[in-house]
Amino acid sequence: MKKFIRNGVAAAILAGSISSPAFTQEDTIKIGAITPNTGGMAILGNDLARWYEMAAEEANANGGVAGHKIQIIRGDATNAQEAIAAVDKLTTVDEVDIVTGTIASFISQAASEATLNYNKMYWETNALAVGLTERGLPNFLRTGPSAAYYALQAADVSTSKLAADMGKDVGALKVWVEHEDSNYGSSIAAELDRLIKEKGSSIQTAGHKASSVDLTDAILRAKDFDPDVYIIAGYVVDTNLLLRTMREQQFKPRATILIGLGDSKETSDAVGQDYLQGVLIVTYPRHHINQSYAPGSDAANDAFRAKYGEDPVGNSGFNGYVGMQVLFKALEATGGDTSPEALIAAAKEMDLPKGTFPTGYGVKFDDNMQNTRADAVTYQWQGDITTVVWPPEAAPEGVEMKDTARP
Amino acid sequence: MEQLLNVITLGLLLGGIYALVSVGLNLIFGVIRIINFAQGEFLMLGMYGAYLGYSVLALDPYVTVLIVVPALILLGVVVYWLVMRPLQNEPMMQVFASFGLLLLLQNIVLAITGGLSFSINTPLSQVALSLGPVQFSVSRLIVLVAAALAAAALGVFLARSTVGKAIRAVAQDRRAAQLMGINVQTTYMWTFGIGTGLAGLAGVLLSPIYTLSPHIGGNFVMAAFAVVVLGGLGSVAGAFVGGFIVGLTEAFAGYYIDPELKHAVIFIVFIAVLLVRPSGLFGKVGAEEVGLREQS
Repeated sequence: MKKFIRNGVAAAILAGSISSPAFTQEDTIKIGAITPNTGGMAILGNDLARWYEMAAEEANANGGVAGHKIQIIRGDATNAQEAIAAVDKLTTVDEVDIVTGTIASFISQAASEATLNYNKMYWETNALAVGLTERGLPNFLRTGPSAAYYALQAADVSTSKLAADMGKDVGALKVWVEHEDSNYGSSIAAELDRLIKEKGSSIQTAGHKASSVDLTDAILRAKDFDPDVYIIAGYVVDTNLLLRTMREQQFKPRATILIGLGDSKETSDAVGQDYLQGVLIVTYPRHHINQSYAPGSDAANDAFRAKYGEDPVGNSGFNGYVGMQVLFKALEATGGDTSPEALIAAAKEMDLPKGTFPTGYGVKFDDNMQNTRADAVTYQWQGDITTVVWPPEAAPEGVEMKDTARP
Repeated sequence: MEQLLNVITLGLLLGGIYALVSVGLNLIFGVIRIINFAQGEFLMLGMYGAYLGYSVLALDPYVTVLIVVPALILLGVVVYWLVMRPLQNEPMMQVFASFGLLLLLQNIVLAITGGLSFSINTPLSQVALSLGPVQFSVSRLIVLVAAALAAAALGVFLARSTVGKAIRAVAQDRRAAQLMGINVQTTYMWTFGIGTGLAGLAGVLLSPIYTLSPHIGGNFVMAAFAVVVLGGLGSVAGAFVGGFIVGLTEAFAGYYIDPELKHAVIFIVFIAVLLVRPSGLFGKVGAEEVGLREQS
């Protein structure tokens, strides 16, 4: 038995020495990943943590980052209080060097402020609220797009593509934005209002509670406005209710755009793929995208499937994977220094063109440390998949936007 | 005019939803005097029960009524016997217990589903009817009809059956009912069970309309509490009519004022009615006075 164990351990050590370089404990950079691993966002949180772990494993297999092994340590938080507790635990018990995350802006806000108390870097990859980077926290930056970039993409596809396809002058285009009334939906609507008005089109925004039992009133009001483009910035439950009510009330705008969701089974199960044909979705780049625009995205998604034996969930994990890759580049630049001062300085120096990363992102941070080269893209339901259709350079070879009208 | 007809239709259909959700809540509230915060979670369980039948057994969601409603009645009986009955002399503790039950049920479903949302999308759930300029879905019409039938059936049950008479007797005067030989505990148990079963019925019938999430019950219950108090404690007719008042108020406020303000308008009406008639529109004057005090 002893011999068996000894041989087993020896084999494991040998396998480890072949598959990855040897790192000592002192060589390890620990990154605390705050994601909701329980509660209503558990599936998305777990998916994001998996992508972080895959990025770390790939880096370690290639010799580590600035000579250091990367170790991801998960922290669970479903609300602001738990986020603070998770930061306390990660920094004091697990002794992480950097904290990263997350899915929800309210978790990010609390976690990043708590992280500042320990003078650690909070490297945000995913949370969307515009205000996160406007706080001026000295330990905070965001590698992915903010909600404003969703609005930018939705405004661009509406005025640059849809107006022309409808044979309308941009000035004659009518846009309705239906948003849930928390900070998420309201900030997207406010930014869309500014951008669409800038282009000279007419726009109407309207809010609703995501927990509403009925949204027929919202659809009737939109129907009165008779918009060419109908944009929904909501969560899954209210977006599905709006889509069902649109069908019930035979509300058929020339184009429908969903912001940040609508490409998952949660939506296709609710209204059926037939009804979704032609619907546009503004979201993070992830799959069915031109490989020269987003080099390596197919390979990364294949690697995820091979590693975990299932498809990635949702659309945000892949964005986190790239955020982790940007962090590793910053760490290379600092020589492994994980202090906020060093990482922020290194990030400010980064000037990578779009197309550097598998999401198509480049890196150039603005004064608020928001990455300005992280663009959302527009997908469209075509058959049983969603594929990128805008901007045109991001669409896969031979893919074009199809009719956007509701059946 | 066209939109006015649409808004009235919307208000009536929405009223049907609120009436259906409120009937069971009012029964428990009016008879046992428990402010049951977990009623929305029983409704949520009804929805998930319908989804299970639909996805695992390939049953039409409406057929699952035959399984889900008896299961929820049984669950209600067990919950009353194990949780509420031991606290019968601690009314406030019963309220806290129902809140604990709410969190327990939500978190169990969260743990099982991992937070993923589910929907039922049958051919029938996609059918919309047009009457001139007015459009509405068959699913909502079914809820409206079911609300009327459930309220009528409950009214007949309470008026004619022995158990129903016992429930009314206990609701009117618990001690006098006990002196007349009515087993109060058994009556409370069945009342809680029937109330829970009605929540299950509402959950099944609403499942083809909504996307299911563990928190969905809460979306209905705030308005349902308003309906119950507005209509009158313990009054089946009150819950039914109150549902339509709230539904129509919400529809008019949402369309003509602002969808974001419609809930505020409902509660303005709610407070106004209470100021004029504290016992609710159909409640017996003084009924609001007994409640918790009677049990202490």
